[in-house]
Amino acid sequence: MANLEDLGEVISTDMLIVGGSIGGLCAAISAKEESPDISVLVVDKQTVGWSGAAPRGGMVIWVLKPEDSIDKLMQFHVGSLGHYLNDQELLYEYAIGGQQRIEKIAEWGVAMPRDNSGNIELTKIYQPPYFNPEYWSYICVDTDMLIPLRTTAKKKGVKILNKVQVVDLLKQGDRVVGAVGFNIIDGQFHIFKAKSTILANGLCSNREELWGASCGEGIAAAYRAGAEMRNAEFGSMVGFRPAEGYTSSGTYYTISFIYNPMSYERLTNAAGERLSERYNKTMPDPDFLLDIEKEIDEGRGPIYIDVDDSMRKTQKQILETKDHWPRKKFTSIENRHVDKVKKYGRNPIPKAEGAFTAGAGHCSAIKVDHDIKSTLDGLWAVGDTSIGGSAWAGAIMAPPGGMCGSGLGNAIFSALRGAPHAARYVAQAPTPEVDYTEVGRLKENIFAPMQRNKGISASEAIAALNDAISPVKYHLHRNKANLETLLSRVEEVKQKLAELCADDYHNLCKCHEAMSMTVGPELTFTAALTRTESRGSHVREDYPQRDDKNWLKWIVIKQENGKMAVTTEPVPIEKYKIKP
Amino acid sequence: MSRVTKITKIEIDGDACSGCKLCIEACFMDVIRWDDEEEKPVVAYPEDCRLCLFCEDACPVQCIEVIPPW
Repeated sequence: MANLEDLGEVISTDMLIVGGSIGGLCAAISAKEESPDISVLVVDKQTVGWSGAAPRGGMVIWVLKPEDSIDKLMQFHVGSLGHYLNDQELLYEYAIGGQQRIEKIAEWGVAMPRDNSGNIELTKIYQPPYFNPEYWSYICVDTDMLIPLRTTAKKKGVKILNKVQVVDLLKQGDRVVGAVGFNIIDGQFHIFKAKSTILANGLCSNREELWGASCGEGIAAAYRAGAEMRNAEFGSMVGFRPAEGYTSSGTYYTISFIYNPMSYERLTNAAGERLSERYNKTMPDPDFLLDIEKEIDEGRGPIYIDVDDSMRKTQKQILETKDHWPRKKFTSIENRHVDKVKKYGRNPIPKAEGAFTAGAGHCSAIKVDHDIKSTLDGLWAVGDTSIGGSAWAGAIMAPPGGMCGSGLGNAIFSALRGAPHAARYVAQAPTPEVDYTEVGRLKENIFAPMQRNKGISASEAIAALNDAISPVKYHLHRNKANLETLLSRVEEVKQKLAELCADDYHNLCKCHEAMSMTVGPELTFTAALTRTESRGSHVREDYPQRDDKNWLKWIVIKQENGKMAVTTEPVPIEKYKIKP
Repeated sequence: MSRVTKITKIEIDGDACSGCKLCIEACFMDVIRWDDEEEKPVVAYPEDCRLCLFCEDACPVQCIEVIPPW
């Protein structure tokens, strides 16, 4: 009988966690606290404790103070951000338990700013002036916050495996029973047999400058395994890189950050004119992207955020405030960026790019239930893999509209909610049986780019994808024709993926990143084509109105016979408190 | 479409380097690898650098300099 060990190193664990940033580590610790006797393995394509976007792009965690108003927050979030597509029950759970979650990760070793009595001190310093008045607060965390979490995880018996890229999930019938992947240094093929699997490896983005490494490998693997996706149409496919260039604070944004009025009101064209004055707007609305495009088209680009004296003063105050970022690691990184600008100048943005950079999207669409479980038995998806698909945020791209701290906040929330459930599942789950032939097929596919002597490199494929989907005119003018064009352009890139070749395992890893990066845009454009209305961050030129009669529905996509099958699911608005 | 063709340069002062490997751990893009023969870090994939500066910041002897591609 064929032996699985002949194909690669077989590792059996009760729980497999893919991704060792904040979501993965919080899930691992939480699972061990729930069920100390189960074995938990965290696998990361880089190094657990340093990997992911969280330490680079996090810095604050959204939290509701006891005196903050849950009712006002719910009303604002459902009415102004989520546009009634929120799962209001899950949003309530997310909002109400923040303080306890902060105390939990403090207990696990994450340094917190504290007052003279030693109590954790929340701040409102990140509060944009008229976007989220008094509804919520923040806690500042340092860029090395994952290190104590890693230490705690190890103390509790969590095992860690670095430099292994997980590519595909293993299934036994309809149940997920682990995954396969390879070591990006020596190419060792790994077969993970697991009773429960948690995806914690981020959203589908474009290896963004400064902070982005996640390319949607978890989302793509879940999709290929048959998991349902939800709310993909609210993803963003373009990034925004102001000409201020090269510093971490306030200089590289995705569009969701521009919804923050502090940034919006400083949008400036090449002639030095503020767009907010030119277009007479005090708040960002969906059309502001079209305003930017008009400026570029008419020769007044690039558009940038003018980090003026008042903004610099605010930044300086933030950096110098002793009670924030208790270990000063964020400050240290920030100062390095400032020094780079002094030494090398700012990143010049080519005029042709205008304000926008090519992007492969911000898609976080794995559909999960209130236990953060996917639609597949044995599979959970936490953090940015499912912030959109969980639906608590509604009709808005993730992190939801200018709510700084939602990325980390959701990662901790979903991990602490999902992992105990996944741990309890282990107790009653049968031992996984893995099919030798299937593993052999997956292994052949995974290493196929190494067998090709000619073709295209991963970098070329990623560039082709960016070129295909990044033109501003397609994104800012969502209509039937443009969305169909985008889908056909993605399809052209997908055809090229069959020619991907790699000369080493690092580049093989990039090949699988490139393949994963096509899934997010296809999900987003397919869902956007289906939603024949405008709602939240989804704006259709040909259907400019919100249509509550026909579209209080979630769009759900899953793979069937190699294609994207689209269905809808009514939002149970009748049982929710806040109605249109 | 315009695209930056130059790549980031990362300089590591091998004489000053203590060999702690923290820069390799800190890099989230697999840019820096370990050279077993030289027993020093080596900049293997500078084209993948995302300019996060975590390697610089993690280095206990401050022997790394990330030079942006412009």
